[in-house]
Amino acid sequence: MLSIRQINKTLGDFSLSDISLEIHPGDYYVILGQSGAGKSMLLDLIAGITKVDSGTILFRDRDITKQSMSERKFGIMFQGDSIFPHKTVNENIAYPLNHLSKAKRNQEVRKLAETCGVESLLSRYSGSLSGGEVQRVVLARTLAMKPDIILLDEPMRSLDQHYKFQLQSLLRKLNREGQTFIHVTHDYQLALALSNKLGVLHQGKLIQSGETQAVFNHPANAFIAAFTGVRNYFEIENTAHQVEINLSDDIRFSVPEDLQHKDKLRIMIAPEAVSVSPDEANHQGVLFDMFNDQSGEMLVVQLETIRLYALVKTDLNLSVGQKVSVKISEYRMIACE
Amino acid sequence: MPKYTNIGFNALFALLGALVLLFIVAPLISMFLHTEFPAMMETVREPEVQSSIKVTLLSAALSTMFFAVAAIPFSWLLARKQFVGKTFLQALIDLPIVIPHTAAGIALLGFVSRDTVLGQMAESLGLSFVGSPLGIGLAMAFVSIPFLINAARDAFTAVPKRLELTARNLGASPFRCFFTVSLPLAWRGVLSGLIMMFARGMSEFGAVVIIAYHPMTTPVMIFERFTSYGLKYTRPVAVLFIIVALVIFYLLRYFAKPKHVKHTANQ
Repeated sequence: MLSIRQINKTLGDFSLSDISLEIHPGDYYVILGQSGAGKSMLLDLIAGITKVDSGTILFRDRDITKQSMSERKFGIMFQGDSIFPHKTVNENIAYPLNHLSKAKRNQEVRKLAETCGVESLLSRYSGSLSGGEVQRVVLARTLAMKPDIILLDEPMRSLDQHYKFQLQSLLRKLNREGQTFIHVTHDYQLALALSNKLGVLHQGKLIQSGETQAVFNHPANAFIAAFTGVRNYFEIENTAHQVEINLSDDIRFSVPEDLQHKDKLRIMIAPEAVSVSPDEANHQGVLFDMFNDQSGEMLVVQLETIRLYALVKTDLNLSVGQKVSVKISEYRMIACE
Repeated sequence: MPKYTNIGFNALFALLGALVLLFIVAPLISMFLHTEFPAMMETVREPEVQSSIKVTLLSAALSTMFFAVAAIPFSWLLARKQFVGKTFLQALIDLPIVIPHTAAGIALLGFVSRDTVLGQMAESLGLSFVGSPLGIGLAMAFVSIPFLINAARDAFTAVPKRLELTARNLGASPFRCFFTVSLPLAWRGVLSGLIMMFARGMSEFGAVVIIAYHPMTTPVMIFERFTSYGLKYTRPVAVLFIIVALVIFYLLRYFAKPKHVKHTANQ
């Protein structure tokens, strides 16, 4: 549907380089990246607000690289509040529908308002709406133009958790009904909750892309692992092709047979698979930090060379600085490219 | 707790403010007090005075409206676009404020008098700039247009660019975007600029007197009466004009003032 091929763009001292993406009808594609990674810049290029320096953008096999924003039929929800404050909710949603007769326009506005759950707000101005309501009105207005793709630039950035969930649910519903989305965000949990495909953007480069689950399960490097919320991620050299490798003092792993010939290996350990117990005599590490997590208590254990995260459900009555030993029940090992 | 207010400091600043206010208000009050009511009433009834006030107000209002048609879109351009020589252009716009207004009048006269191309073109259409309300309007606009352009430019700059981009993205043409988003959102600032342009034009003397002594605007009449008959005879006209100006200025400001934050359409 949308094929972005090796596009490049330099603005000042920042460059987006060699970005390629494939978006298919019905995709919910999230571009994940830190602040300053170039997410909004990439979205502007896709929208046609700014033009690429080189590369090609094809839409349904037609070259749209040189088309302006108005020629591409992509709806955009910009970062921040983009509701027209001098118009009512009704007038906002009706804005792209001025080619319709009044009766048809009203009918369409009502339908869109119902879809987005804002039908009771039609006579209101934005000043009296909550952040979540504003974003749903903006979404309804974007839908009114019947866009081929909706581009979302951090639409939930300033929303409370409750409104975030509401908007997420609405976006999922629209996506299930066939609407294609490209959404840029810095929030990996949001990416996980919404997308079927994911691209990780870092310093102007797309460093990993693919099916969302695949990216989360096989992060290509330590940065992506950290950014996608993987707590225990380690890259180990195994140039000697040993059958057992050492992660830290006393913690050893068997290398699966098919990976024994690889020089570099990645080990990922779910915090739930790490158990910690106080052990004054045969301790392996020291409790470095601890904090509450949604599903229990997260303990951070400093071993000789690494820091390990352990999620425990029961209160072990530990304190920071205490000597502990750790046990790992399962792990995942994959080869690095 | 740190102390954020200091009575002595505030009192000193308030005193300085009071002195400035006194400087503005004292001459006006003195003039009002020295004007006798019967003389004022007589002046109000004078057809010559009435006609001068009419010429002044109409010329200022019409020239403001006429030039606004070009100045407001130009202000949007200044707010939104970057181009070579923009800083120079901004300085050029402020030029009428800086130069002596009599000099501005001379410059204008040299541009629109009967022996210039523009003057001859106007004459072939049966119009004349010199000694006509047209010339008065031109002189008023010349010295007051920077107030409109600057205020409108600032107002357009304050409109979030993403709202204009959104309108364009939703399929609006540049014109529809300008008239339904940019202008309504900048309107309060633009209106303030229009009021300032009108007010400045209305009070103009230097440029107007050079280009059109007749028909007489009130500022020219005040000058003429002062030089011919002295202070006492001039005061009632001056007081009357100040009252008219204040009433109009107050009314315009009153209608331009935001009423309340809109919450629902039927409020």
